[in-house]
Amino acid sequence: MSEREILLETRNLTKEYPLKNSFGIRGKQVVHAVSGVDLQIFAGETLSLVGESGCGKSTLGRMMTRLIEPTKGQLFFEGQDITGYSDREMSRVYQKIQMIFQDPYASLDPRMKARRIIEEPLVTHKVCKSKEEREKRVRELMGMVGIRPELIDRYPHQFSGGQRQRIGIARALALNPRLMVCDEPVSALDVSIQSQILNLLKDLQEQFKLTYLFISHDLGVVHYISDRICVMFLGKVCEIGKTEEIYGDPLHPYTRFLLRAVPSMDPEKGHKGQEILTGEIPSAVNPPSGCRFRTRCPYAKEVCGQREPELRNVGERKVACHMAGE
Amino acid sequence: MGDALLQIEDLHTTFYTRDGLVRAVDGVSIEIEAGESVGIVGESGCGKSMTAMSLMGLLKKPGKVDGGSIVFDGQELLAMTAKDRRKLMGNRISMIFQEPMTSLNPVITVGRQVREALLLHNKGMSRSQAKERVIQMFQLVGIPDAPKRYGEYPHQLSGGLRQRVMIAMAMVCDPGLLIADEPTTALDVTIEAQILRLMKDLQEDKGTAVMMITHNLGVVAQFCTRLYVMYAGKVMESGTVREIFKHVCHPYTDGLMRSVPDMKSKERLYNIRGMVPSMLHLPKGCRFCPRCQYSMARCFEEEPQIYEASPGHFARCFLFDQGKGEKRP
Repeated sequence: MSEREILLETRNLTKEYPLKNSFGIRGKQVVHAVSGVDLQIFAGETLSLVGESGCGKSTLGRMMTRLIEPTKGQLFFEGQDITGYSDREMSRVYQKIQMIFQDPYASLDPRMKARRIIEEPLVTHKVCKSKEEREKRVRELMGMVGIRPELIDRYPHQFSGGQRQRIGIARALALNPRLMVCDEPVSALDVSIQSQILNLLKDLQEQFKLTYLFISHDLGVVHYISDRICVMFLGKVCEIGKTEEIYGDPLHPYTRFLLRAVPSMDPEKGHKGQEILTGEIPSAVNPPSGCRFRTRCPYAKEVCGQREPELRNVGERKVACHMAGE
Repeated sequence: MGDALLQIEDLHTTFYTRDGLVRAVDGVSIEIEAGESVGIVGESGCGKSMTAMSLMGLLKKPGKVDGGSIVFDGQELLAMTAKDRRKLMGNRISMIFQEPMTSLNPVITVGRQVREALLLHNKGMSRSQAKERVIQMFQLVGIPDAPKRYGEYPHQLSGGLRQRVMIAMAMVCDPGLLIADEPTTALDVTIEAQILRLMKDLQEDKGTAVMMITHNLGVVAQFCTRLYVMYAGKVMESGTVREIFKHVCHPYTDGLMRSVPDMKSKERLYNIRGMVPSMLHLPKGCRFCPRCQYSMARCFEEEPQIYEASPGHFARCFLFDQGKGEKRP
């Protein structure tokens, strides 16, 4: 693992949102959206952030593209500390980091034709010399994502949800990025369209040696697409490791319950007799002391309330649980 | 036949739009027996929700039921007056929706909303009796601190709790049939597992029949005993969940099942080519044939009937036309 290039790295990345009271004045209380995340993304891999709503996976993903400024911590891209980069300096980085969003209806400007949507990054970063060259590139991109280039002058509403997502992907590909941050790219799509987009993402990865940071709550999708996964709970990392290892033998209790909760496609076996996770996600304003999962964890002991578990190595994985590996 | 709790026969629901007729539900027949849990599966726009809306009498203009029959408990719903029908809804047939925030009134406490449903159908009941019953119901659906929650507003509850309130409201009159339209789609997986287990327990305790409308095949596999797969307004396949998951017949159902990543293999996902057709311009012949990998010349010409592939297992596909009933590999 050590020889592989680390494309993006976070050190102690933290985001806290101050809470406002009813007069709109900031108080002392903060929402702990993401708390001290250390993560490495290797070139060419797909790393997925998984977790339920409110676990901070999207906030983390947006901090990594600097769409949200972190409260604390550092961000490295290709070995450079880009945390304090100015907008102008970032614009160079953005040629290499691109994003795909969840809602293909909201992320495309309804008044722009497909042509303008896809060529926008080319114009902003002045990559093409002439108009003709730009059009050629747009048509080429459309072909790559499986949209007939004749549809270049259509508006977003004339496309279906799946096609719109393809346009979003074409836009992200326009500058030949190295890293693509995909925030729930298939959640809004029907299953038959979802599988088309997932296969497209896999093909593009192979073709252009892309690195993906994939954010999703769908554990089936995550298993299919990722090499490594990072399970999050309430702003903290629970477990990071290779997909097969984690799905085969989850070490963190939260991961175990999460995987067990997915309704199985096999009617013969399911979670009928099994224990399921009770309770709800605690508030991110006052997270429980010590381990944040302990209020829902059936194995919690005294130590879990006193000391916060460190993310430590267990085999090839990292797990943040006092009990793991014992 | 005949003794089913709900019997939908050849239901047609049409939307009269400016661009033409949209046959959202096009000759759907569904049967549900008392105490049974039946899944209705399909992608968006297949007509699964519209079937439920027609059944509940909740269709909005320009939609209209213009054919078929819906018999519930021996009574023909489509022949009833609106007033009689309303008496049945919420009382004998109730419904829960996908997004609990939009189906609860934000300015009335949740306790009062559930109590209203109860008092509406039980004229003799006093308010204090009703309140007691609602609190009992809240406890039954697993709302912690039920007496305190009774006086809270929907925005004070989490998504999972709101869905529990909806279930309490739907179950408070002990309905014979519960229609659940994507009840867990907006919820996180661990909460989804809780809600599904709760619904299963209630169903078994009270003997309520459930019509589970969903796009999630996993939910159906875990929750239902029988299944109807819909595509573009028609039922494509029906049978028991065990049978269909083991020996799937219709190419559409097959494609759907193989499109879902299953957390086991990383083999390339199957793709159903193309996309769902516009309901205004349906293909001639079988509605699925332009996307089907087994389509034959015949599929583009005539519409397939429903054929019995094995006892109790039906498919709308020429591959199962008698005589040529050879199974696909």
